[in-house]
Amino acid sequence: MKRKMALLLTGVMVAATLFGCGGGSSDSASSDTAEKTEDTADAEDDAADDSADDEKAEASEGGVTLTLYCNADDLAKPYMQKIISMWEEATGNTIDQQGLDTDNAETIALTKFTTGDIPDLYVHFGNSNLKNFNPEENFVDWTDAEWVSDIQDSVLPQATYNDKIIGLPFWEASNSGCFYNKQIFEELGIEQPTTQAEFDAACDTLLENGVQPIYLAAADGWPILYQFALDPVMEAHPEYIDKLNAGEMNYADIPEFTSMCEWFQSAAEKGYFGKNFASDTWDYCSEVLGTGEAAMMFCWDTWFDTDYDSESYDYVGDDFGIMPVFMGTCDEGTYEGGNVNLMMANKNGDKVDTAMDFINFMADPDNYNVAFDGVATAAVFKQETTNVNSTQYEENKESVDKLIRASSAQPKIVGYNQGEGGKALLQLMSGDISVEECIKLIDDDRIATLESFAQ
Amino acid sequence: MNRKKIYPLYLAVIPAIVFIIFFIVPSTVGYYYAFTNWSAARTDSLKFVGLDNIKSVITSSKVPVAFVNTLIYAGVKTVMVTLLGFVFAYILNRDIKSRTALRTVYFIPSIFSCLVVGLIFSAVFQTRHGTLNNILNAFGIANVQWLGSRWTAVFAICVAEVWRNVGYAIIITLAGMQSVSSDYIEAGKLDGASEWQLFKNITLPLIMPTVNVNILFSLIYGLKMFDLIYVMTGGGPGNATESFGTLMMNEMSAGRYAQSVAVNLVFTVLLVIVSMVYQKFSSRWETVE
Amino acid sequence: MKKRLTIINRILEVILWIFSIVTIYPMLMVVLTSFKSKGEASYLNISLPTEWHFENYVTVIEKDFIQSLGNSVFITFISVALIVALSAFMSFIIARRDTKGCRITYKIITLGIIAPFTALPTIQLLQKLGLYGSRIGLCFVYAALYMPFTTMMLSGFIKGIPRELDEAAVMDGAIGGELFVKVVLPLLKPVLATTGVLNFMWVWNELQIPMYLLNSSSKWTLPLSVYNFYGQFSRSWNLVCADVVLVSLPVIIVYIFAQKWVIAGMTAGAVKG
Repeated sequence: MKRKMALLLTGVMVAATLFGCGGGSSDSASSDTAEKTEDTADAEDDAADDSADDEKAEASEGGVTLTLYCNADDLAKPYMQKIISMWEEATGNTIDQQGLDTDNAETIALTKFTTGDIPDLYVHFGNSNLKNFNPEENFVDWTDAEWVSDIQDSVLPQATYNDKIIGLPFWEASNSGCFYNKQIFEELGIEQPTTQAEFDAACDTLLENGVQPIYLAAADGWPILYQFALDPVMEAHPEYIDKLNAGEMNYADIPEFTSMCEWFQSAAEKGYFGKNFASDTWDYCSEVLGTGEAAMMFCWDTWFDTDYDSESYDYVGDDFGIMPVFMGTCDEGTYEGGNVNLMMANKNGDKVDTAMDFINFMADPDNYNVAFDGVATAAVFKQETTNVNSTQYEENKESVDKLIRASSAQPKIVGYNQGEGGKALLQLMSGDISVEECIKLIDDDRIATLESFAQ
Repeated sequence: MNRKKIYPLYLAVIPAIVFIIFFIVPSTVGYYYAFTNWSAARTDSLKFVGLDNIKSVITSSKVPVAFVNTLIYAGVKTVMVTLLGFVFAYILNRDIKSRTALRTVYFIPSIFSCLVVGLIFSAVFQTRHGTLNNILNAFGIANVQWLGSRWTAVFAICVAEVWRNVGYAIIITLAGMQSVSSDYIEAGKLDGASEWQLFKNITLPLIMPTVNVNILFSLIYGLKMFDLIYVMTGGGPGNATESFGTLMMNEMSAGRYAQSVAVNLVFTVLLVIVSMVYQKFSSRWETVE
Repeated sequence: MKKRLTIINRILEVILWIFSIVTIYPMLMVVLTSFKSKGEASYLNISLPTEWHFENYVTVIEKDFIQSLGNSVFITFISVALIVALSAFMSFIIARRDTKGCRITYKIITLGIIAPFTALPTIQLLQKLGLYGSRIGLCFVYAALYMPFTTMMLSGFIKGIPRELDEAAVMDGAIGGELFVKVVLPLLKPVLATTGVLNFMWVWNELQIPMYLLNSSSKWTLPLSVYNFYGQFSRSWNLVCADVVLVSLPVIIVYIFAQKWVIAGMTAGAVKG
């Protein structure tokens, strides 16, 4: 046995010498056996060291370290970083922030939850996928917390799971709709449309004047955002959602679904989305809108504050206004309300008290008002005063407040898939498939998920 | 002395244990999920559902397109990468002054992660301001939507994948050529052999094992390809550039975990067959010399 | 004859340099973009930045860069050493013993390049072994994952080494590991260097596995830092590029360093005897 180990170590050592810094002569490698053997032994002890390290770190700083899983994109939001560092300073505790790959964050988190590796704090959108994480068994129930009464009534349903408040909606709330270039509309004498017919007429006028009406980043799939078309339908017929989820109804049974597909088909034919929509991606939004090449896009208001590049192009963020989205299903048009992320605490963790302390800290008006100072968002908390409403919202408040609908298709229809739906609609718009085939494609994908979940 | 004594088995025991524990066991266990009702909605108390998932996978309407695409990706990649890798390695193995610099330059594409390669080639094939379209415009040719229709997008993905992998093929083939002892070549030269004869009779047979590794690798990783497709087109437009790999990803991200594993299992069986057949052939080539 | 060969080589050299634009051009796009402002970097091109934003690099380095670099160096070094050492012994025995059992083992190992990494069972396994979340556990997973390739490469080369060399050493009483270290290992230098570099690169660049197998961001590796700048709706390509340049540099350095071994191997590898 000893001999075996010695041989293995020799191998490791030789390899190490081959690639080690400085190199040296590996032919006479045996000369520094002793030293290298130590290295290897160290390495093998590392597993033990790792856990010891953590404990040491905690002991030496005198604080507790909480683990936090969140997708990297969301974790990077300035107000998140602000509130975390405020709490760390105030308490001497630390938060080990694990920003997960945005594209796979949910899969990674779910894999870890499945194996029992549940972090002290977890951030997830308040949508139907949350049930996959077993909220009732895993997360602290906040129903009786003081801060519940401070949450805006419109937001509270998203923080609720089976009538329990399971997380703090510490997030920005955006208004989604159709954004248009006010200057171009004015120059061409176009009024802000209030009906589907007026909207289509506006697009035609733009086309006649050589302006692409809508920039649709269809190549990415999700920016087609077809929930705009479905939200009003689901609001008018809440029973659709139950029937769809029970497998008693198909998309083909919903007449408005067909209307939506037909609208996309004819809009693409007429050139509302330009010629290149099949290869247009989200990365070019700023440029195409900024140069005035296209006049409208489907988006959310905070995007113009955080991501739109006002410096590089002719038109700045404030040149854009918000109006309702018309996708062939709702004559008055619609806006989509914000989706909020929830901060949740692992109720079975050893550090649950500290985690709860952090969430209570976040919910304190004195603290969140510092974190959200100057952030463009609608207020999530009733006592939130330092946030700034977006210019777009302020300018068209009346219309937004009247037509805004809580998002329902995406969070409530099991198997609703923004990306796959977008892909099918793109095929329809490119003329590869018919309306019926398109509906079937989207529905098949939904049903596959529904069946997989129900098995 | 007995061969078994000279080459004692215990030297291979530790490597075998590591391989079995950390790879064979989890991979095999992983396939078990293909026969369960595992999904994002259900991660505990799994039920055995037999071949249901496999059936639903094989009959999916997306499979035919993905199957053809997968074959194209793997075929184009294998042929181009092996060929280019061989040609470049052969030249770079000659007595060229700046060959160290050249070798580094040709190796660099391999060090970028697929994220970056995707970014680069999206920029090249982009409709707006794409490098390729800029060049075409200079010749008075209108913009082409490279990533906007099936065959041009498949072409673009192939180009990117070949670009990313030629570097590997070069250095693997180079390693093979390094091991061809210069004694053989010198001896051949003394016998008055031409460069072609030297190449055909000495170099080629001696590096065949390396070339085989190259081919097998390009083939298998070409068949398994998904990350670059995912970054460049997301499988689109529509499902036109989907491969088996991206189908698997789609199932995964839709939360249909068991189905994802089922695609994988079906796919693995195919791969095993392909690689066995290939190895059968290649071992024949190797013994020919 | 000699002169003609030199001329051919010169011509080939020029052709190669011309052709290298295919790799240099995209590389330049990445490097130039890393110095641009976010707006200018909304898509890659070869234009010079209107203003050189060196602070992009500062932004990238501020994000726990040194700690992640340390983790990456540690994990990559141990993993590559493990991969190379384990594969070397494995392929030595497989290639030299050459029994039926060995050939079957070889087949099984080559099938290893087909099966993918599966996160859930791997995590459960590591938890049972008490290695979940630790860097060394990750190293062993890498070792197993990349062994098939290295073993295939090495056994191919060992088969090419004449067995007569072994026999001479056996006369002198060297068997088993000693035989391997004395006779076979020195001849494997170029291929060890090559597989070493490739493994280094694969392990170094891995973007997903560490996220699954490490349980604390203080153990995360360098390439994961790219996710700080690569969001779903807003991608700061300038920072992504700066990050990529910094993450790629060590690989280039290692490659240049290892090249010496590859070439040294060519002369040393000439079979004496």
